[in-house]
Amino acid sequence: MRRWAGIVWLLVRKEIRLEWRSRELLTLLACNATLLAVLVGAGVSSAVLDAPTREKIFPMFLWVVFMLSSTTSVVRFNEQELEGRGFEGLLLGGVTGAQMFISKLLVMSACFFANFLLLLGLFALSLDYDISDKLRSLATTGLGASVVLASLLTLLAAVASTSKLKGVLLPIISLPLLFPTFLCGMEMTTEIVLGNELAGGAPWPVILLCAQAVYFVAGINLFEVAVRE
Amino acid sequence: MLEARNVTKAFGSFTALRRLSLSFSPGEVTLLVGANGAGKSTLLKLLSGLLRPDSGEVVSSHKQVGFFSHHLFLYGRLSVRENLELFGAVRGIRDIDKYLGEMDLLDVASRPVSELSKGTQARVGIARALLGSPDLVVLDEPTSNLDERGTLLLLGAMKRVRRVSQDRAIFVVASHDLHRLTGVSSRAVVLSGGEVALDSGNGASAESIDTVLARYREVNR
Repeated sequence: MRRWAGIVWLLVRKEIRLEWRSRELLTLLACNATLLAVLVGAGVSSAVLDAPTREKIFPMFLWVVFMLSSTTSVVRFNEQELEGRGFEGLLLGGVTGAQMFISKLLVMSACFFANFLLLLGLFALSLDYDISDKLRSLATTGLGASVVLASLLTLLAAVASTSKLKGVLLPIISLPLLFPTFLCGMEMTTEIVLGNELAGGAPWPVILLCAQAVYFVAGINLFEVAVRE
Repeated sequence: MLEARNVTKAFGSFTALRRLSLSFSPGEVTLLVGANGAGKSTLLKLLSGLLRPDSGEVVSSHKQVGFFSHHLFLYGRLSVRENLELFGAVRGIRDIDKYLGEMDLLDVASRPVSELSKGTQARVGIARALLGSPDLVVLDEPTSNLDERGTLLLLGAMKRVRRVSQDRAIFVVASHDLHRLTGVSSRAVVLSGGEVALDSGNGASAESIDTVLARYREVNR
């Protein structure tokens, strides 16, 4: 088990190195998120909405932009694996699909979470909305959703990696599958914004956890098949 | 043990291998030759486990497979050392300098693989394939980008793997470079149209290997 985890850690380090040198996912995420957030923010500002209205629309804008920017930014996530056939090299070395999946999931989750925090800041600024006292709860929700998104998109990015249409396919396939996560995130953020407790019998955290479990199990079992095919 | 039994593999309408059967003995160095499209690369991928046959089976008891092809299986943005450290650590190998030195890569160890010449990249790919002591070594056109010195380094590394495995490792080498690789081979197999056309047999003498290769050259003239 220790050796198994050690290999996952090796692969995580490799993923971080590759991402740091290419900055493909982070740059795309930051650009798409900033562009969408600025457009939305400018639209809201020009509508001259009052503070209570801005508070109400904050969760919806945050989650729409988070989902769109995340699903459209993973297009080149496996590009370096494909260029050098790294996947096959690792499989030949005895690395399992589950180890590859977990390492990619961890790095993608971290990137998505960074994107979520960026969006929180951008929307707080553009909607002139103070989130400082709710930051912890909002970040926890964002982290949970980031792991769900990453679980699904790590698998789908591998499935679509050799398709010329992956830029279109990935959002089209993933967005409907991520709709429950979108709803959960939006509802949980609304509760936080309204100052309500999350554990007050609301089903949203449970649905988010279920989605996490389903996509994680699917990814662990199917990633190697997707890579080999 | 390594054996392909009645293996068929097709890609769309093109059948790369047709009910092909071959077995390989420990310590054997098989030189696989054939025209382009004869099925050499497909057979090598099946033997190494990268592909699965449509029908038939590949029986292999090997724990470590060293595979080299023109795809290299390396990360272009990682340095030579980082690549070998990654693939070495996966096999439980820590001392990478030994393998860098073996393929004369110490001077370029810190450079990204994508910035190297084709020949140097090939040497990195060979170093990756021959890390540690693989008990099955599958090489697809290993000398195609190598100069004379690179080929000598390859032959030296192959010798080291044979020594470490106490002459138990199986080598299957597909190549058009008959001149440079015939000397180290103990068997020659000619593929044609996805089938075995000629086979010198296990532990063949240099003369019978030469005879098989001469017939192959004649047919392809």
